[in-house]
Amino acid sequence: MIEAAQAGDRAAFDSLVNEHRRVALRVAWTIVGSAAEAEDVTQEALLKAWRKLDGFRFDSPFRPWLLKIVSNEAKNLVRSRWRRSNRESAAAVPELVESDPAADAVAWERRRSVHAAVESLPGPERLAVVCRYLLELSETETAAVLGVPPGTVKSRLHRARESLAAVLEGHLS
Amino acid sequence: MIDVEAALTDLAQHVRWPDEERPIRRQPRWVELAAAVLLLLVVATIVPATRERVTAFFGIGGVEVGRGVMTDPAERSTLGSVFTGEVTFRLPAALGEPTEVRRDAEGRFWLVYPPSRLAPEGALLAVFEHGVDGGLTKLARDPSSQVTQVELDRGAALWVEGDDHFILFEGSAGRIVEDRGRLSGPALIWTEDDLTYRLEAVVDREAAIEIAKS
Repeated sequence: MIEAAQAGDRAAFDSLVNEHRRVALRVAWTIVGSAAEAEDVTQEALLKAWRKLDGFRFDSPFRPWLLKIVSNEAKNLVRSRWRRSNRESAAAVPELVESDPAADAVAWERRRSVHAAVESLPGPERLAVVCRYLLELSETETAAVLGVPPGTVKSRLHRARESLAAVLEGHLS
Repeated sequence: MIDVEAALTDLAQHVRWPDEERPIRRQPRWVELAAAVLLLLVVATIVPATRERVTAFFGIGGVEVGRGVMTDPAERSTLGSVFTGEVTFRLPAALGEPTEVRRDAEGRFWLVYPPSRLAPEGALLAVFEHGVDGGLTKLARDPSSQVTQVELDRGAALWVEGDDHFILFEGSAGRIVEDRGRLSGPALIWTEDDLTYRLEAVVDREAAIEIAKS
Protein backbone atom coordinates (compact mmCIF):
# COMPACT_ATOMS: atom_id res chain seq x y z
CA MET A 1 0.00 0.00 0.00
CA ILE A 2 2.87 2.33 0.82
CA GLU A 3 4.45 1.57 -2.50
CA ALA A 4 1.18 2.34 -4.25
CA ALA A 5 0.89 5.59 -2.33
CA GLN A 6 4.44 6.54 -3.26
CA ALA A 7 3.55 5.93 -6.87
CA GLY A 8 0.85 8.57 -6.51
CA ASP A 9 -2.13 6.36 -5.67
CA ARG A 10 -4.18 8.67 -3.52
CA ALA A 11 -6.68 6.04 -2.46
CA ALA A 12 -3.84 3.92 -1.13
CA PHE A 13 -2.48 6.80 0.90
CA ASP A 14 -5.95 7.62 2.13
CA SER A 15 -6.35 4.08 3.44
CA LEU A 16 -2.92 4.13 4.95
CA VAL A 17 -3.55 7.36 6.77
CA ASN A 18 -7.02 6.41 7.95
CA GLU A 19 -5.53 3.45 9.79
CA HIS A 20 -3.44 5.78 11.88
CA ARG A 21 -5.50 8.94 12.00
CA ARG A 22 -6.87 8.38 15.49
CA VAL A 23 -3.55 7.64 17.15
CA ALA A 24 -2.03 10.58 15.29
CA LEU A 25 -4.76 12.83 16.64
CA ARG A 26 -4.17 11.58 20.18
CA VAL A 27 -0.43 12.07 19.96
CA ALA A 28 -1.01 15.61 18.75
CA TRP A 29 -3.48 16.27 21.55
CA THR A 30 -1.09 14.92 24.16
CA ILE A 31 1.54 17.40 23.05
CA VAL A 32 -0.57 20.49 22.38
CA GLY A 33 -3.31 19.90 24.95
CA SER A 34 -6.12 21.25 22.79
CA ALA A 35 -8.51 19.20 20.71
CA ALA A 36 -9.00 21.87 18.05
CA GLU A 37 -5.29 22.50 17.70
CA ALA A 38 -4.64 18.78 17.64
CA GLU A 39 -6.94 18.46 14.65
CA ASP A 40 -5.13 21.25 12.84
CA VAL A 41 -1.75 19.79 13.67
CA THR A 42 -2.81 16.35 12.54
CA GLN A 43 -4.16 17.54 9.25
CA GLU A 44 -1.05 19.52 8.59
CA ALA A 45 1.13 16.57 9.49
CA LEU A 46 -0.79 14.35 7.09
CA LEU A 47 -0.26 16.83 4.33
CA LYS A 48 3.40 16.92 5.14
CA ALA A 49 3.54 13.13 5.18
CA TRP A 50 2.13 13.09 1.69
CA ARG A 51 4.77 15.50 0.54
CA LYS A 52 7.55 13.52 2.18
CA LEU A 53 6.31 10.12 1.13
CA ASP A 54 8.87 9.81 -1.62
CA GLY A 55 11.56 9.86 1.04
CA PHE A 56 10.01 7.10 3.14
CA ARG A 57 12.15 3.97 3.32
CA PHE A 58 10.49 0.60 2.96
CA ASP A 59 12.78 -1.01 5.49
CA SER A 60 11.28 1.00 8.33
CA PRO A 61 7.75 0.86 9.71
CA PHE A 62 5.28 3.49 8.58
CA ARG A 63 3.56 4.36 11.86
CA PRO A 64 6.63 5.65 13.77
CA TRP A 65 7.55 7.68 10.70
CA LEU A 66 4.10 9.23 10.59
CA LEU A 67 3.93 9.84 14.33
CA LYS A 68 7.28 11.58 14.25
CA ILE A 69 5.92 14.01 11.68
CA VAL A 70 2.83 14.56 13.82
CA SER A 71 4.84 15.14 16.98
CA ASN A 72 7.18 17.54 15.19
CA GLU A 73 4.25 19.58 13.99
CA ALA A 74 2.76 19.57 17.47
CA LYS A 75 6.06 20.59 19.06
CA ASN A 76 6.44 23.41 16.56
CA LEU A 77 3.08 24.71 17.70
CA VAL A 78 4.07 24.43 21.34
CA ARG A 79 7.33 26.23 20.64
CA SER A 80 5.50 29.08 18.97
CA ARG A 81 3.32 29.25 22.05
CA TRP A 82 6.39 29.53 24.23
CA ARG A 83 7.53 32.47 22.24
CA ARG A 84 4.23 34.13 22.84
CA SER A 85 3.45 33.26 26.43
CA ASN A 86 6.08 31.05 28.06
CA ARG A 87 3.49 28.37 28.63
CA GLU A 88 4.77 24.93 29.39
CA SER A 89 4.25 22.10 26.96
CA ALA A 90 0.98 20.44 27.77
CA ALA A 91 2.00 16.75 27.85
CA ALA A 92 -1.68 16.27 28.52
CA VAL A 93 -3.14 13.27 30.28
CA PRO A 94 -6.59 12.10 29.17
CA GLU A 95 -9.20 12.39 31.85
CA LEU A 96 -10.24 9.50 33.99
CA VAL A 97 -13.59 8.01 33.09
CA GLU A 98 -16.00 8.50 35.93
CA SER A 99 -17.47 5.35 37.31
CA ASP A 100 -19.51 4.37 40.28
CA PRO A 101 -17.08 4.29 43.21
CA ALA A 102 -19.47 2.09 45.11
CA ALA A 103 -19.13 -0.64 42.51
CA ASP A 104 -15.47 -1.13 43.19
CA ALA A 105 -14.32 1.50 45.61
CA VAL A 106 -10.81 0.15 45.99
CA ALA A 107 -10.14 -0.07 42.26
CA TRP A 108 -11.63 3.38 41.72
CA GLU A 109 -9.52 4.97 44.42
CA ARG A 110 -6.42 3.26 43.16
CA ARG A 111 -7.07 4.39 39.62
CA ARG A 112 -7.67 7.95 40.74
CA SER A 113 -4.35 7.95 42.58
CA VAL A 114 -2.51 6.54 39.59
CA HIS A 115 -4.06 9.16 37.32
CA ALA A 116 -3.11 11.97 39.70
CA ALA A 117 0.41 10.58 40.04
CA VAL A 118 0.86 10.48 36.27
CA GLU A 119 -0.34 14.07 36.04
CA SER A 120 2.24 15.10 38.63
CA LEU A 121 5.20 13.68 36.68
CA PRO A 122 7.63 16.11 35.05
CA GLY A 123 6.66 16.88 31.44
CA PRO A 124 9.15 14.63 29.57
CA GLU A 125 8.43 11.63 31.79
CA ARG A 126 4.70 12.28 31.66
CA LEU A 127 4.80 12.36 27.87
CA ALA A 128 6.74 9.10 27.80
CA VAL A 129 4.24 7.41 30.12
CA VAL A 130 1.21 8.66 28.20
CA CYS A 131 2.68 7.48 24.90
CA ARG A 132 3.91 4.12 26.12
CA TYR A 133 1.12 3.10 28.47
CA LEU A 134 -1.99 5.13 27.75
CA LEU A 135 -1.59 5.34 23.98
CA GLU A 136 -0.01 1.91 23.99
CA LEU A 137 2.70 2.88 21.54
CA SER A 138 5.73 0.68 21.11
CA GLU A 139 9.07 1.89 22.41
CA THR A 140 10.13 2.69 18.87
CA GLU A 141 6.98 4.73 18.32
CA THR A 142 7.38 6.44 21.67
CA ALA A 143 10.97 7.32 20.77
CA ALA A 144 9.77 8.77 17.47
CA VAL A 145 7.17 10.91 19.22
CA LEU A 146 9.59 12.10 21.88
CA GLY A 147 12.33 12.66 19.33
CA VAL A 148 14.88 10.78 21.44
CA PRO A 149 16.70 7.45 21.11
CA PRO A 150 14.94 4.33 22.42
CA GLY A 151 17.46 4.14 25.26
CA THR A 152 16.33 7.54 26.49
CA VAL A 153 12.74 6.35 26.40
CA LYS A 154 13.71 3.38 28.56
CA SER A 155 15.46 5.58 31.10
CA ARG A 156 12.61 8.09 31.23
CA LEU A 157 10.09 5.33 31.72
CA HIS A 158 12.26 3.78 34.39
CA ARG A 159 12.46 7.06 36.28
CA ALA A 160 8.76 7.62 35.83
CA ARG A 161 7.88 4.19 37.19
CA GLU A 162 10.12 4.77 40.20
CA SER A 163 8.49 8.12 40.87
CA LEU A 164 5.03 6.65 40.46
CA ALA A 165 5.85 3.74 42.72
CA ALA A 166 7.10 6.09 45.42
CA VAL A 167 4.01 8.29 45.24
CA LEU A 168 1.60 5.39 45.04
CA GLU A 169 3.20 3.47 47.90
CA GLY A 170 2.55 6.50 50.08
CA HIS A 171 -1.03 6.90 48.86
CA LEU A 172 -2.15 3.34 48.72
CA SER A 173 -0.26 1.65 51.51
CA MET B 1 5.07 -3.34 46.41
CA ILE B 2 2.76 -1.85 43.84
CA ASP B 3 2.92 -3.10 40.27
CA VAL B 4 3.19 0.21 38.44
CA GLU B 5 3.03 -1.29 34.97
CA ALA B 6 -0.17 -3.15 35.80
CA ALA B 7 -1.64 0.02 37.32
CA LEU B 8 -0.85 1.99 34.16
CA THR B 9 -2.24 -0.72 31.93
CA ASP B 10 -5.43 -0.64 33.97
CA LEU B 11 -5.54 3.15 33.78
CA ALA B 12 -5.29 3.01 29.98
CA GLN B 13 -8.60 1.17 29.92
CA HIS B 14 -10.30 3.86 31.98
CA VAL B 15 -9.38 7.13 30.35
CA ARG B 16 -11.34 9.14 27.84
CA TRP B 17 -9.61 10.82 24.93
CA PRO B 18 -10.97 14.06 23.47
CA ASP B 19 -11.97 12.35 20.23
CA GLU B 20 -14.24 10.08 22.26
CA GLU B 21 -16.08 13.04 23.74
CA ARG B 22 -17.22 14.61 20.53
CA PRO B 23 -17.13 13.65 16.92
CA ILE B 24 -13.98 14.56 15.08
CA ARG B 25 -14.72 17.56 12.92
CA ARG B 26 -15.59 16.36 9.50
CA GLN B 27 -12.75 17.02 7.20
CA PRO B 28 -13.00 16.29 3.55
CA ARG B 29 -10.75 13.34 2.95
CA TRP B 30 -7.54 15.17 2.63
CA VAL B 31 -6.20 13.12 -0.17
CA GLU B 32 -9.27 13.97 -2.15
CA LEU B 33 -8.57 17.56 -1.40
CA ALA B 34 -5.03 17.19 -2.57
CA ALA B 35 -6.22 15.47 -5.65
CA ALA B 36 -8.80 17.95 -6.37
CA VAL B 37 -6.71 20.75 -7.10
CA LEU B 38 -4.57 22.75 -5.33
CA LEU B 39 -3.51 22.56 -1.88
CA LEU B 40 -2.36 25.89 -0.97
CA LEU B 41 0.06 25.54 1.82
CA VAL B 42 0.67 28.98 2.94
CA VAL B 43 3.51 28.71 5.25
CA ALA B 44 3.47 30.92 8.23
CA THR B 45 2.68 30.79 11.84
CA ILE B 46 -0.79 32.01 11.33
CA VAL B 47 -2.85 33.10 14.24
CA PRO B 48 -6.02 31.03 14.50
CA ALA B 49 -8.26 33.76 13.18
CA THR B 50 -6.18 34.13 10.08
CA ARG B 51 -5.97 30.40 9.69
CA GLU B 52 -9.74 30.19 9.81
CA ARG B 53 -10.01 32.79 7.11
CA VAL B 54 -7.49 30.98 4.96
CA THR B 55 -9.32 27.76 5.54
CA ALA B 56 -12.65 29.25 4.69
CA PHE B 57 -11.30 30.86 1.61
CA PHE B 58 -10.12 27.60 0.24
CA GLY B 59 -13.26 25.74 0.96
CA ILE B 60 -12.20 23.50 3.80
CA GLY B 61 -15.04 21.96 5.70
CA GLY B 62 -17.45 22.26 2.86
CA VAL B 63 -17.44 26.03 2.81
CA GLU B 64 -17.69 27.29 -0.70
CA VAL B 65 -16.26 30.74 -0.98
CA GLY B 66 -13.77 32.69 -2.90
CA ARG B 67 -14.44 31.37 -6.33
CA GLY B 68 -14.35 33.95 -9.03
CA VAL B 69 -17.35 34.81 -11.07
CA MET B 70 -17.02 33.88 -14.68
CA THR B 71 -16.21 36.86 -16.79
CA ASP B 72 -17.75 37.50 -20.13
CA PRO B 73 -16.02 35.09 -22.49
CA ALA B 74 -15.41 38.01 -24.81
CA GLU B 75 -13.18 39.56 -22.19
CA ARG B 76 -11.00 36.51 -21.90
CA SER B 77 -7.79 35.86 -23.63
CA THR B 78 -7.28 32.39 -24.83
CA LEU B 79 -3.84 31.00 -24.40
CA GLY B 80 -5.01 27.47 -24.71
CA SER B 81 -4.62 27.65 -28.44
CA VAL B 82 -0.96 28.38 -27.94
CA PHE B 83 -0.55 25.10 -26.14
CA THR B 84 -3.27 22.56 -26.33
CA GLY B 85 -6.46 24.38 -27.08
CA GLU B 86 -7.83 23.12 -23.78
CA VAL B 87 -7.45 25.91 -21.29
CA THR B 88 -8.87 29.36 -21.38
CA PHE B 89 -8.07 31.90 -18.73
CA ARG B 90 -8.25 35.54 -18.06
CA LEU B 91 -5.11 37.62 -18.20
CA PRO B 92 -4.68 40.70 -16.04
CA ALA B 93 -5.00 43.54 -18.50
CA ALA B 94 -2.82 45.87 -16.44
CA LEU B 95 0.25 43.79 -17.18
CA GLY B 96 -0.10 44.05 -20.92
CA GLU B 97 1.05 41.23 -23.13
CA PRO B 98 3.39 38.60 -21.71
CA THR B 99 6.79 38.36 -23.35
CA GLU B 100 7.03 34.69 -22.68
CA VAL B 101 4.47 31.96 -22.12
CA ARG B 102 5.25 28.38 -21.29
CA ARG B 103 3.39 25.35 -20.21
CA ASP B 104 5.50 22.81 -18.40
CA ALA B 105 5.16 19.05 -18.25
CA GLU B 106 2.97 19.24 -15.15
CA GLY B 107 0.48 21.55 -16.79
CA ARG B 108 1.58 24.80 -15.19
CA PHE B 109 1.41 27.95 -17.22
CA TRP B 110 4.15 30.50 -16.75
CA LEU B 111 3.72 34.00 -18.05
CA VAL B 112 6.55 36.51 -17.92
CA TYR B 113 5.65 40.18 -18.12
CA PRO B 114 7.88 43.14 -18.90
CA PRO B 115 8.11 46.14 -16.55
CA SER B 116 5.00 48.27 -16.44
CA ARG B 117 3.49 51.01 -14.29
CA LEU B 118 2.16 48.63 -11.64
CA ALA B 119 5.00 46.14 -11.99
CA PRO B 120 8.17 48.21 -12.36
CA GLU B 121 10.37 45.12 -12.16
CA GLY B 122 8.16 43.06 -14.41
CA ALA B 123 6.01 40.21 -13.16
CA LEU B 124 5.73 36.45 -13.19
CA LEU B 125 2.28 34.92 -13.26
CA ALA B 126 1.79 31.21 -12.65
CA VAL B 127 -1.54 29.61 -13.49
CA PHE B 128 -2.55 26.20 -12.24
CA GLU B 129 -5.48 24.27 -13.49
CA HIS B 130 -7.80 22.84 -10.83
CA GLY B 131 -9.78 19.75 -10.59
CA VAL B 132 -13.49 19.96 -10.05
CA ASP B 133 -13.82 20.41 -6.32
CA GLY B 134 -11.89 23.53 -5.76
CA GLY B 135 -8.87 24.12 -3.72
CA LEU B 136 -8.12 24.05 -0.17
CA THR B 137 -5.84 24.58 2.59
CA LYS B 138 -3.41 25.63 4.66
CA LEU B 139 -0.76 26.86 6.63
CA ALA B 140 2.00 27.40 8.92
CA ARG B 141 5.62 27.10 9.53
CA ASP B 142 7.81 30.05 9.10
CA PRO B 143 7.06 32.63 11.79
CA SER B 144 8.43 35.39 9.60
CA SER B 145 5.80 34.78 6.93
CA GLN B 146 2.48 36.52 7.01
CA VAL B 147 -0.73 35.85 5.19
CA THR B 148 -3.43 38.42 4.71
CA GLN B 149 -6.75 37.97 3.03
CA VAL B 150 -7.57 40.69 0.54
CA GLU B 151 -10.64 41.26 -1.54
CA LEU B 152 -10.83 41.23 -5.28
CA ASP B 153 -13.87 42.03 -7.39
CA ARG B 154 -14.24 38.36 -8.21
CA GLY B 155 -13.66 37.06 -4.73
CA ALA B 156 -10.97 36.81 -2.10
CA ALA B 157 -7.24 36.46 -2.48
CA LEU B 158 -4.27 35.83 -0.24
CA TRP B 159 -1.34 38.16 0.05
CA VAL B 160 1.64 36.11 1.21
CA GLU B 161 4.67 37.89 2.54
CA GLY B 162 7.78 35.82 3.11
CA ASP B 163 9.48 33.26 0.98
CA ASP B 164 8.23 30.06 2.41
CA HIS B 165 5.00 29.17 0.73
CA PHE B 166 4.16 26.59 -1.80
CA ILE B 167 1.27 25.24 -3.76
CA LEU B 168 0.41 21.64 -4.31
CA PHE B 169 -1.58 20.88 -7.38
CA GLU B 170 -2.56 17.92 -9.41
CA GLY B 171 -0.09 17.57 -12.19
CA SER B 172 0.14 15.19 -15.05
CA ALA B 173 -0.85 11.58 -14.40
CA GLY B 174 -2.68 12.64 -11.28
CA ARG B 175 0.44 13.15 -9.23
CA ILE B 176 0.46 15.83 -6.62
CA VAL B 177 3.15 18.29 -7.49
CA GLU B 178 4.68 20.78 -5.14
CA ASP B 179 5.40 24.18 -6.51
CA ARG B 180 7.23 26.83 -4.59
CA GLY B 181 7.28 30.46 -5.51
CA ARG B 182 10.01 31.19 -8.01
CA LEU B 183 10.99 34.53 -6.62
CA SER B 184 11.69 35.82 -3.17
CA GLY B 185 9.27 38.39 -1.90
CA PRO B 186 5.52 38.50 -1.61
CA ALA B 187 2.97 36.82 -3.82
CA LEU B 188 -0.72 37.35 -4.46
CA ILE B 189 -2.72 34.14 -4.87
CA TRP B 190 -6.29 33.94 -6.02
CA THR B 191 -8.69 31.59 -7.70
CA GLU B 192 -11.00 32.10 -10.63
CA ASP B 193 -13.17 29.46 -12.09
CA ASP B 194 -11.10 26.30 -11.95
CA LEU B 195 -7.77 28.05 -12.02
CA THR B 196 -5.44 29.37 -9.38
CA TYR B 197 -3.22 32.33 -10.11
CA ARG B 198 -0.04 33.32 -8.34
CA LEU B 199 1.46 36.69 -9.09
CA GLU B 200 5.09 37.24 -8.14
CA ALA B 201 7.61 40.08 -8.37
CA VAL B 202 5.09 42.79 -7.55
CA VAL B 203 6.16 43.89 -4.11
CA ASP B 204 3.48 46.50 -3.56
CA ARG B 205 0.29 44.90 -2.28
CA GLU B 206 -2.10 47.49 -3.66
CA ALA B 207 -0.44 47.29 -7.05
CA ALA B 208 -0.77 43.51 -7.01
CA ILE B 209 -4.45 43.80 -6.15
CA GLU B 210 -5.02 46.30 -8.91
CA ILE B 211 -3.32 43.95 -11.35
CA ALA B 212 -5.44 41.02 -10.24
CA LYS B 213 -8.60 43.07 -10.61
CA SER B 214 -7.70 44.33 -14.06
